[in-house]
Amino acid sequence: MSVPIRCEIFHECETATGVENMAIDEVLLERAISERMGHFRLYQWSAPTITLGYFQDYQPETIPEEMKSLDVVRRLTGGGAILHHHELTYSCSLPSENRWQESPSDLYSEIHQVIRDALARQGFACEFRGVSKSFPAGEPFLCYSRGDERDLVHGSHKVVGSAQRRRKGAILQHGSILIGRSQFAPQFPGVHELGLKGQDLNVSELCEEIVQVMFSLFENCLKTAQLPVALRPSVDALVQDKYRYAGRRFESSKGSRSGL
Amino acid sequence: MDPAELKYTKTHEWVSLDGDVATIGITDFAAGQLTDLSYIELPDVGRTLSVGEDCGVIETVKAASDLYAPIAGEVVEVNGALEDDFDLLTNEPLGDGWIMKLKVANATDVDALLDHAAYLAHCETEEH
Repeated sequence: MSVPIRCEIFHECETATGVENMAIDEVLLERAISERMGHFRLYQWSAPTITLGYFQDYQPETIPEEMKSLDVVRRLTGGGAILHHHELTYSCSLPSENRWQESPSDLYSEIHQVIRDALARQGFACEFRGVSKSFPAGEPFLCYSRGDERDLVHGSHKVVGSAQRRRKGAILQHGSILIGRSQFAPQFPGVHELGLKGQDLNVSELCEEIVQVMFSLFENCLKTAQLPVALRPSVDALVQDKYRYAGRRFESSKGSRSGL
Repeated sequence: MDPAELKYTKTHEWVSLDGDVATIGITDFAAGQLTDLSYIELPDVGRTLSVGEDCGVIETVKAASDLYAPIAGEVVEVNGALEDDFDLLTNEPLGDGWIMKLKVANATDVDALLDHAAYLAHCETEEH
């Protein structure tokens, strides 16, 4: 059964560190569970950062040489590692009894559709990949090398990908929009190089476009400019107690994958 | 396991009580949402769990989903075979795909769970 979702949508003008961003998103997921408040958040990073998928190994040999100097933090969500540099990130946290509960994967397609439309209005064309890529020897380390059917691609190049965490019926979905080529992963061209022929993408305008269209996905939306102040102590506590350990596994694990 | 003999949670776990030990797994409904399972993290044997506590994580290619303790108790066994054969969980969630066994702290926790008819009614509600 789907019930209307109250939802706050915000595009943050200030950047934050990796540990702050991940702590904020976990607080928003917990708020979705405890207060039934949904969120859609667009944000960027104060320094180039790698986020690891929840189950990815964190061992020196798994990090590409050119990225070894960068900050690393683990996401709650699954999927592959993302290099957050010349990149726009979103998080969407929804309470249980949302209309995607029966098929949570549909949330990928619906949010990607919004992003595709927003990019099109900025002059950049991309489309759903349509067919998932198979990697019999194991999924690549970086998200942008992986291939899900709901990815947005320009030709053979992935420009938008997402992953989820599902907790008590609630959903946290992280997604990444590759704006431009990073010096730390030059094999991945972004929107800037692929479709705009060197013209600058207006990221602020793109964010506004995404936020405006996102209102059509949720009921009872409220646009805000920043994280609610009342949530800041919870964010600070998570930064101190959990995320300050950067790429370490958060919880003890019995699995065969090792932590730091 | 006979589905009619099990107890259930709204978050799609099942419980089978034998004496003071409960076997716990996920339902067909939950297993049906796990396509391309890639990792599973199980709780440590000896860990004491409270009702509703997060105790593990299952990852598919694009999502990580938490596991919960439907009842309180001490973990006395986990199904290590799941780490080597994910098909057990997706193909036989009510049988060889069981997840863990708990020494039950309070048997009345089990009484408070849904019976089969109530669980099916809950799934109907989610689907509409």
